[in-house]
Amino acid sequence: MIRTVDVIKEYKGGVRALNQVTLEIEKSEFVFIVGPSGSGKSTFLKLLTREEAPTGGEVFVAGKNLENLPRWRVPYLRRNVGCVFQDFKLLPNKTVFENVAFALEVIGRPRTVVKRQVPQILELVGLGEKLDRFPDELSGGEQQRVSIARAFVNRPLILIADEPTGNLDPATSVGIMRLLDRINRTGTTVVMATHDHAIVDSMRRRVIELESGNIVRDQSRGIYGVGT
Amino acid sequence: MRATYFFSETYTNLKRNLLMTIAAVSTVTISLLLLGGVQILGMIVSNVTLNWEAKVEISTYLLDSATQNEIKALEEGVTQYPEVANVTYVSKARAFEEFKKIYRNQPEFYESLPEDALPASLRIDLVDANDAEEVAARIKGAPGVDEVRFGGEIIKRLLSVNSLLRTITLVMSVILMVAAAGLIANTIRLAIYARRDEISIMKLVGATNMFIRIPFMIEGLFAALVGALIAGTVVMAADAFLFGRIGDAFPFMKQVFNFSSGEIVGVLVVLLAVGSGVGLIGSALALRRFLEAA
Repeated sequence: MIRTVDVIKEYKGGVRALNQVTLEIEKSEFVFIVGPSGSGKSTFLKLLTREEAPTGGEVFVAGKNLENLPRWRVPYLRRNVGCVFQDFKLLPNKTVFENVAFALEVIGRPRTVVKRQVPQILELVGLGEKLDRFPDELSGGEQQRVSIARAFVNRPLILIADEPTGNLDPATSVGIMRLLDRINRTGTTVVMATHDHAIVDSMRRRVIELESGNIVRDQSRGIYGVGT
Repeated sequence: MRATYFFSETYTNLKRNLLMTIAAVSTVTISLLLLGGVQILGMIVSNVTLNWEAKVEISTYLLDSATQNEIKALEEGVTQYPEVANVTYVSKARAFEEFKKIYRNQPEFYESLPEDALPASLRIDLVDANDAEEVAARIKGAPGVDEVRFGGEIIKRLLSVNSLLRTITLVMSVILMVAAAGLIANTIRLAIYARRDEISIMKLVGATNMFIRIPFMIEGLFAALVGALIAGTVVMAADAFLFGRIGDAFPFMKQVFNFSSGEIVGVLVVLLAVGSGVGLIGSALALRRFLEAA
């Protein structure tokens, strides 16, 4: 589903965020990317949605080599890769329903599909009763559920989550992880960057550890880290 | 269903970003009002010019010895010139009558004159006053012609002032159009900047650039059209209530402020066309920067 070969990413000024990263993630895997701030986690995720292009090496997503992907095809790649962020990135002037519907409307899905799928997905994330609320009327955990609903409503092959629990308290985080686990069980590949030891240790999934842009550990059914 | 999305999206955005909408609409209105003002100034200049030019005529004085045939041949020949609008034969008797009329307060001027003292002449009205010198030169050598006179230097000077005024209003129109375009584009850019989060989310979930662009362009078009309509209404109101009154108050201005409905419609068409064109192009240009980043 995801394969990178000797990927190098250098930012302007010569900062090397990723150094010769080679890895493969299978379909329906659940993978944690861990490591300290600045280790290259976010950069790695941005390569998968073509928000950034690698300086060297190759990135394959859903069987496509992103290097050969023309600019106008990028939107179609992103329809296969849902994204969830630490800061939710919800539109404050749209209701819960509209925020999720937006993701379907802007890729041209018919109104009937929007009307059927949005309440369904919001039911799935446990917000079936709050369709007409605005984001600032919701708790952090609820906002993150909306954001997950938005990322998943289009049934993407891959779900990318960049520190989705970074702004949430531990109890709420557990709920979010349950949700991501459920999504993963539907066959969606989940790649999640995180700092959260407790979550990684309790989930016992594959852990890839980055340090200064290098993979220093790749362990199935791993924990956050030895000695940390 | 896509059309419904675009229009409901536009409507919601215009409503929720009311302040930006008002800013955009008033920018368009003010810019287009300036443009309309310059156009009307141009029309005033052109009316003044037409007034002057209408008064330019070539007087062709005929020799007393000129035969009826010569006069007839000359009159027919001149009438054929494409530059000539109208030719009037003024007999000696009529010339004397007109002279008397002009100097009716000083009868001593004409009392001592014999009735045939003044020469007969052809008065030639031109289509375009600029041709006066050339037409005069052509007539000069013809048989039966004594002397050809037209306003000469004064006319030339007036004409050059007119063409200068026309050039100035044209240049001002162009400058104002460019300025209006810049202002509108800038306002739309601000509106887009205020909603860059929305655009980044649209890109995130895989909206194509065209799909992102369309609601903004409809918004830009809408704001520009509303602005153009307001500016157009002001122009029409000025024509209906103001210009006529100026003409009534100052009779010598009547011609100058008298515009045909065709001219006013022309101004409105220009305002609508410039407004909508600039609204569309401005929003597309303003969006490009946001869409190209990643």
